[in-house]
Amino acid sequence: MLTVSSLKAAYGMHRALGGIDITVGAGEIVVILGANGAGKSTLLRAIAGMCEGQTSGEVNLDGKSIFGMPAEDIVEAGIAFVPEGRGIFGDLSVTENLQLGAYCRHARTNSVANLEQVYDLFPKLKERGRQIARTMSGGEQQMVAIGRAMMADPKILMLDEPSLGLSPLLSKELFHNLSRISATGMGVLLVEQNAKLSLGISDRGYLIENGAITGENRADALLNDPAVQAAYLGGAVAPSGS
Amino acid sequence: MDILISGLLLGGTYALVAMGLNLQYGVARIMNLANGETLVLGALAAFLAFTAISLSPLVTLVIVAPLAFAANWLVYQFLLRPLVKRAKTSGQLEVDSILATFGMSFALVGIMVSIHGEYYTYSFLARPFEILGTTVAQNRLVAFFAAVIIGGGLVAWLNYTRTGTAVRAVSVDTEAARLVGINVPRVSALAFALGGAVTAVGGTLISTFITLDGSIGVIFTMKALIIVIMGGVGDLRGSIIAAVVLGLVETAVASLIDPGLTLVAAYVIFLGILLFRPQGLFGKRNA
Repeated sequence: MLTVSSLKAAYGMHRALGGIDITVGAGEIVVILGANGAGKSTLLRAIAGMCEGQTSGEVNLDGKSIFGMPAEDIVEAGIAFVPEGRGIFGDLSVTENLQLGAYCRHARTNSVANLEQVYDLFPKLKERGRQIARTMSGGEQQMVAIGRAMMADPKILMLDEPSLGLSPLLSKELFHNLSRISATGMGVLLVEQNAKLSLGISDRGYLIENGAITGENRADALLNDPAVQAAYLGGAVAPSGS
Repeated sequence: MDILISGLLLGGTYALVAMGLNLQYGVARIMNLANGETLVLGALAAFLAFTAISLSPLVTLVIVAPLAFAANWLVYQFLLRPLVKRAKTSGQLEVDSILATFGMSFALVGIMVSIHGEYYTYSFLARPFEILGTTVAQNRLVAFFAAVIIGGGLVAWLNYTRTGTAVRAVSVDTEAARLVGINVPRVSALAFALGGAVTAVGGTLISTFITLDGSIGVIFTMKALIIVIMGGVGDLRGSIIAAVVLGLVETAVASLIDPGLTLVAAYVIFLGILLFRPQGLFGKRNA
């Protein structure tokens, strides 16, 4: 269970996060919705220990504080992060990317089983093992990024705009896969622009505005909330809910 | 044929030295202008050990490698790591590291000249050897094979071990490396130290067939730079081919035109590459 309390972040004089409180349980999918510049990416980067600004607050994973640790220790503690732009090793092969995913100490013991699981979820990665990641399509690179994060055997998987640049069909497939991943007991925390699809697979959602949480609810309740529909769903969700 | 074989043998040793600089620049992102002085230190060690107790350079290099590794590790931790921490951009780090290592190269030249101000002349396996109808000195052949073994081992280590893969990962993308839990500062220090060790060992090998002196390091820094940029930064395969090309061109120019023009020839190739393929022979990064 990931617990974030009064997490603040600032870049110089600019306040990016003003005291965020969120939780993500095991096997739970939590989505954070917000406009560009609301602080979504900063929040994930601050949790991952990769925020360049000044941060303060508390981040606990299963009761242990991970705030202020270097990024590599946070991975070791059990948080895997897929940043916007995916952060894969473009010049290395798919197999090397996946192997490096299991670099941290705790992931090595289960790496064979985890690799099986990744191949089961994304059979394409097995076929394309020798391909250089950079030469793959956007959707395939996203598979590499998520597969690599799963190889770290995390308790919590964080994704920043995973559907960015993907076709509607591929986005659908991606979100379907995320719900399969969470079914294994992994907690998933994602930041998304695609509110409709992401709420469709999530358990809970938070609304973030100007670096502050302005709302929290179950995902189905948010989907039907008129204010959310107006702000994030283009104000026009078919009433049938299709 | 003479040129081909001599050039190939010379290129093999150059390749090893370029691998050292490539580890330092491609992975640790330190443009080490004292690279040539590290090489000459390896040569000086071989010379001193040979003249004092007639120790074979092949034994000396086994001692040189761990010493150079430790010394370069310390240099990285205490001199360069603060620069890395301070640098906000890669450009700033490049400028800072060039200045710092440029200064270090002068200090090292001074130290080496004060230890031994003359040429490092000694004779090791200076006997002729016939190969494919060409006569070469045995020491060149031995140096070449030693370089191939060490370089081959290094390539295998980089490709087939977990730590080696982590080193390549940092070279490809430091941010992605942090995402998978690689301790980037530690791997950078390791790569810098390893690069220094490889360079010093290359110097030990080169000293068996080229007479060096305390102030010649800058020429080798330049050659290694030419090779690394010609081959593409971070691309070991490219550096090996570039090193062989440089070895062949230098040998050809020296035997066909004039030995004094070898550096000119090297520089002409370098300019050509910079003008027409700035990303290196196999470089693919266009961003």
